[in-house]
Amino acid sequence: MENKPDDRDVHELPASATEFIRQIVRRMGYRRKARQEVQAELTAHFEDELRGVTDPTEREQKARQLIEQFGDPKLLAILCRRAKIRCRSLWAKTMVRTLQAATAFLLLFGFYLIWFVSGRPVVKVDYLAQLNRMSRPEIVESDNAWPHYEKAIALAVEPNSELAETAAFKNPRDPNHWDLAGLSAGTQAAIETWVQTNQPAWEALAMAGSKPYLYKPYEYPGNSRGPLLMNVRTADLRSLRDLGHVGVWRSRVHVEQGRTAEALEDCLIVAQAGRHWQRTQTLTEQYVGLAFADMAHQEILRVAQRPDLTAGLLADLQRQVAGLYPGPYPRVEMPFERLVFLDLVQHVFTDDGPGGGHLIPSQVAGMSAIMEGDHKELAEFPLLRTALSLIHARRDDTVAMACGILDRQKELSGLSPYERRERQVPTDGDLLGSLPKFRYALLDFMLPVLDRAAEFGFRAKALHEATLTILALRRYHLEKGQYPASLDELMQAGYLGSLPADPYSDGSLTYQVADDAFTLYSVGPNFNDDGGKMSTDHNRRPRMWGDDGDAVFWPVGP
Amino acid sequence: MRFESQLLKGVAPVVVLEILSRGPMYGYELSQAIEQHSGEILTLGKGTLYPLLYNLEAKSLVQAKWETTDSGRNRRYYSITGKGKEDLARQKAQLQGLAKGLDLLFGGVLKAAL
Repeated sequence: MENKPDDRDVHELPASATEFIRQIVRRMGYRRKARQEVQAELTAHFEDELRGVTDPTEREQKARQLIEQFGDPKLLAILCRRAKIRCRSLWAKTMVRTLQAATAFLLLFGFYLIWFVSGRPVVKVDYLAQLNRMSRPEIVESDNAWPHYEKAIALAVEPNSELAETAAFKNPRDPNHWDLAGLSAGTQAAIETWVQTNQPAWEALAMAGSKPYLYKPYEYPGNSRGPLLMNVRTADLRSLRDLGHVGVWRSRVHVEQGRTAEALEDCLIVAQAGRHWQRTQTLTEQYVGLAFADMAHQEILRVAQRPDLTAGLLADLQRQVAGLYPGPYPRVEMPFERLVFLDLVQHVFTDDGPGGGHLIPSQVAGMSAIMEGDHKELAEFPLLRTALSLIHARRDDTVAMACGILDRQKELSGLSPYERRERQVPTDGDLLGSLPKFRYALLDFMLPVLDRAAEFGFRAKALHEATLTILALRRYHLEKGQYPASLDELMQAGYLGSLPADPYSDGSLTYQVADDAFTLYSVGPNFNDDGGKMSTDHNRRPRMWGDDGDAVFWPVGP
Repeated sequence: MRFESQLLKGVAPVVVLEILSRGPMYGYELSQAIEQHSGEILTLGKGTLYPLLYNLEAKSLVQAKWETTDSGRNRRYYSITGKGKEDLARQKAQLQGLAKGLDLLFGGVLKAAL
């Protein structure tokens, strides 16, 4: 067994030697065992040097000589310490180096984290001004419909709760509610009163519809929500939609009164409003435009059933409906949503650092109100939102990814549902879902999906073209005494400019004629030709774009 | 004879290894042996001795353990390892080469002096 060093002999040495050794050991620092060993060895060396010298004075003198030979105790301590450190075992050296590296890493990470969380956004671009510049056409202000829409919205009167709760009002598309005479006297009276009350608003809407364009300047709301583009104030869309319903019920009142021309005029006013709002910058407003267009065209088709329509009236109506969209049918787009995202980026990312900037944890907290699911939970806890910010892609990468997706969406928005299916284009939802979950969290909950909105646009286009086709067919029948054998024949006869495209097939809408009647339909979202069988909802009521049948434009009704 | 410190610095390890190759010794014993076996020409500074031994130990050229001497005192004995012997042989070969070169340079004066 190895003998251990002992320090009992230090007391037999002269005081100077003892003190010298203690100085070295004290200055050496390091592990206790190593210091003990050095102390023992130096003590032994002095002992050996002083062996045989008994005179205290002589011992002291010899000790001082030896001390002089050893030299500077501080230097010796440093050399001994360094050498003893080198004597550590490999595992000890590895442990020490690992701990040092870990400590250094933690320190650096700590500084990085402080820098990271203390970052501040730098808002440089006024995206609101950019939005307003984008949407403003180069036309005189007197041709702008917006002041009249603003007036119409201000004058609009909501239906009272009694009327709003009636079945007819809640479901105006139900064929049982098309004819006012089929409603209860009380409901009929309430509708007529409501329509009459909205006369001033309606006149303003009609004036708006007559204008060639709509330019509505966007602005921030006058509250504390701050200059974030997503908070920009849009028009009172609810009141606007109510005015669309005013038009529908006005039309039905006129039909009831035998005033077909006035009924159609009401429908066209709604359609004109639709074409304006379809060309606005925000997806929400474009949806209102689509809703107006849908209401108007459906109502036109119902009125077109009436036997008192003359060929001249139909021709005039067809011309006016065609004139709603003199150019290509407007596509659903998202210029506003793109700017909203870019504006959000400059509010939640820093403006410098690696990758152009990082997501700021404190800003993530502010977004928790609009997040959903996992992201919302992350945003509510400081440590988790810091982790989310650390994981999230850097600013440049985030913007590049978002713009890539938005560009792709814009490019693909021109594909019909049929073309998307044929090319096996993944949905926007699938595309966003394929992104690494937390690395692009901002995209996941901020970027809207456009493919669904684009599909609605194609449906609206199909309805518009179907309306033109049906008006042309009705004219043809009135003038020729029969319906054409095909839509090509209708075109060749000069009644129709182009064939109506079916968004759910590679051809035109399906036209079937038999027994002096015709059917015009789209094969619908199931892409199957069900022979003109109308799709239904869960209550088995006719539904235009259901999955269990076709979208039948004519005949109208059950 | 007092040598330039830098001149001795390089040969101190090989000197220690050479002495230890003749048998285990403790620090004081080693410093005495160096003087005796070098004809009192070489002296290893006391402030250099122990750091040098610890460095050689760290390089596994020597190993050390506490043992009781004949006089009953505990001393830390140092002995050369196999690796130390290999290193010693290599360094001795280098020094012999150096000596030969210097001898030729100084016109055989070195060898004659020895």
